[in-house]
Amino acid sequence: MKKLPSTIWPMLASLTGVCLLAGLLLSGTYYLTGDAIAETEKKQQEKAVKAVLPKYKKLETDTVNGMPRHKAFTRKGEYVGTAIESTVNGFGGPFTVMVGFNSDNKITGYQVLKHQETPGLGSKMTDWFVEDLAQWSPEGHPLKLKKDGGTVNAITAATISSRAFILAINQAIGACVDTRPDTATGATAKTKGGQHE
Amino acid sequence: MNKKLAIIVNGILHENPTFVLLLGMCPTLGTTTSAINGLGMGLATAFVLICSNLVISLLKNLIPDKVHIPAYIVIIASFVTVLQLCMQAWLPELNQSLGLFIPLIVVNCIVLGRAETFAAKNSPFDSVLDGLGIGLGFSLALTLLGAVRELLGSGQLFGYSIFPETYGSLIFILAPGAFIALGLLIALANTLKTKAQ
Repeated sequence: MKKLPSTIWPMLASLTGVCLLAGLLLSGTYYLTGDAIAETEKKQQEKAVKAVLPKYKKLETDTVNGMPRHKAFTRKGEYVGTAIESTVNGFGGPFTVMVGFNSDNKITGYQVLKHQETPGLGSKMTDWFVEDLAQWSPEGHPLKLKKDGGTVNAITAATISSRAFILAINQAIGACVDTRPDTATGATAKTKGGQHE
Repeated sequence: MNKKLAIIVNGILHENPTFVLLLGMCPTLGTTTSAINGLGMGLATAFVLICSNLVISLLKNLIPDKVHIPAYIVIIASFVTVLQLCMQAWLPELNQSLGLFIPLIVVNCIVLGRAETFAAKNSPFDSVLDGLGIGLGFSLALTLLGAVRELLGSGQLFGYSIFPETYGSLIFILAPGAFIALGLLIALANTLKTKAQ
């Protein structure tokens, strides 16, 4: 077949045809992958919640200050903890941390969900802070880096990432404050110390 | 049959996109922080190359010369979006670590380059073989570069520890190391080529 000439009608028809084909291909793929994408995202979120919380049976999800919050209960309805997805700006763009709290508002664990921190520096945050956070208690000092007067060791040569990470945790602590059903017992007043200024 | 095989070998050796043509340097330098990322990026680009080469070769006579660039870009962009949706659905982890570089395959000059120089002039079957050859060549180069950077930077290979991380040199994970490692690999490839001749 001879190549179509570069005059107005063949060009118009050709471009329209190509775009139509592309549209068909894309809508087809979108239709086929839609369910799988939603399921994958949900699975990843569930996996992160399971990793940071004690064992639970039921999960209630709502939103505090734009952060998704998952409250966990046992089969009998006893409150076991909360997981909060906190997003902050790091060194290489926004990153999200899933933070788990038990019923005493102590941090039970965290998972970095997505980040673009520098590999080998800021990216170490995925397991760097585990011990320091486990030792931190809501009754004590506010959660801060050592060089900011707190108790947490910053990642060597990645202060910006470390500060962002601590901010993410403090945001989560703030969102966790009103989680406990018995807000009148004073438990909330104690956790306020951990809120970010 | 030898001629067909020659098309594939041509893409891997004589016209290797990274070591010989020096095309697509942006994803080459950006994604090769580890061997597995390099391999993933290479295979993703290979998929787009094969599909776009096939379709462009099939449609080459229906696309007038004056509009061939927009038509090709629409076709390439469609396949990249298909790829991204599929990766989001079934390979979420790889999708996360490659991040922005997947949509950027659209403007990867290897893909448009092969469409212009090969698919627009050859039969659909030959074009698929060319896409396969160039794609494999690109994957091979990126995996090699990723392996070198991962080994020298963090003492690992495909995620397995070879020597302790403290002996690694961080610079190889960061951008300057990408240039250094790439330069040395190109020098090595050139030396081998001269010796073979």
